[in-house]
Amino acid sequence: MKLKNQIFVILGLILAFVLFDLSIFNVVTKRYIDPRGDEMKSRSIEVSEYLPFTEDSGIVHVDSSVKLSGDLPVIDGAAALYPMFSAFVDATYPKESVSFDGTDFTEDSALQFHNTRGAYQAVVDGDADIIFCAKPSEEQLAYAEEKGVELKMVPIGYEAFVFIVGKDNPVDDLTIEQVQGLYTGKYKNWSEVGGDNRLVDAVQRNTGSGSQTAMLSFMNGQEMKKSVMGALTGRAIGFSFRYYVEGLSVNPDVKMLSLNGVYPSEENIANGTYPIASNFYAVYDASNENENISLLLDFILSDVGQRIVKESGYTPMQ
Amino acid sequence: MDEKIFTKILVTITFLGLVSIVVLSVLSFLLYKDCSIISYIANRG
Repeated sequence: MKLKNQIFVILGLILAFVLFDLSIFNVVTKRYIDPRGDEMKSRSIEVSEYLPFTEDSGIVHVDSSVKLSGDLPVIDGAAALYPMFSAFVDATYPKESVSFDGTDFTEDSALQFHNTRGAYQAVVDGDADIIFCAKPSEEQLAYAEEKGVELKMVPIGYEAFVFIVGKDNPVDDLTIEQVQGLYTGKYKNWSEVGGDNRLVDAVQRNTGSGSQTAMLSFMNGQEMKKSVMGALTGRAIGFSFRYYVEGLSVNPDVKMLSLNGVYPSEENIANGTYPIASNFYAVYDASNENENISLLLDFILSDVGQRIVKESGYTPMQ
Repeated sequence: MDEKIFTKILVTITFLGLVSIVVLSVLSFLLYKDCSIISYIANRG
């Protein structure tokens, strides 16, 4: 065979193996999503299933004597809290104040949904009057300061911060120190915390999301590290708020972990034994003079409002 | 190129190619096993 043909055969063989390898990888891992990619920002809740003023909606319906009128505060917030603040609107707003075009709320709608990052930006920019979220991140506080906005935060309920793993992970319980160690890289293998001999893939969320901010607080200044080998071959651990895992986005392949021997059940959150339950807040611009803001906050903290918090799946303040 | 050398190159490439398929299949399977949890975490709001 001529040299030219030999080179063609060699290159062809290499190309065939490369293409075959890539197709295997692509087919088998096509469900994989880069935790740091754009898809992280995609919506995670079917907004249309929790619309106010709709009979078959998944929200809590209550009879309220408080009916707002006039300059209605524009409401926005986190995905995990959306069914709850949609229920607040259902209870206190006139029906015509909310407009949904089948995909999104229209611009003139008093109810909006832009998730934690978008909601904090909206309340600082004046596009929303009250948002319902976990604590703001340092970046979100800095953005508010830069714009000269003082954010008022009113705690309206509690929610547990939970850690989740795949259901086939033999680990069911970790201590706080072990979880922190998995994220700092102190423990690189699950066998070091009672699991099997697999590397750890400690998955994080995008900066500014409510759960990522809560995680930074949980780590208490300890730096979180990512393992490339862990990401490729390890067993994953992630974090979320309990209601998201239990109610909004149930996934049979995922289980919540007990922390310090206490499972994040509603009962254990309410009686204070689960160690990392934290407040979520109604947040507004302190200089906002809309009188309906205080009326709405009074309603939320009333027995009826707190009933919405409880029946939506969270732990009320009282 | 000498036919013997050419044959050796083909055998070597084939061997490496088969090894790469095995390694990548194992890696893909391990990654796939955690796909659902990673995707789940990644898609939350």
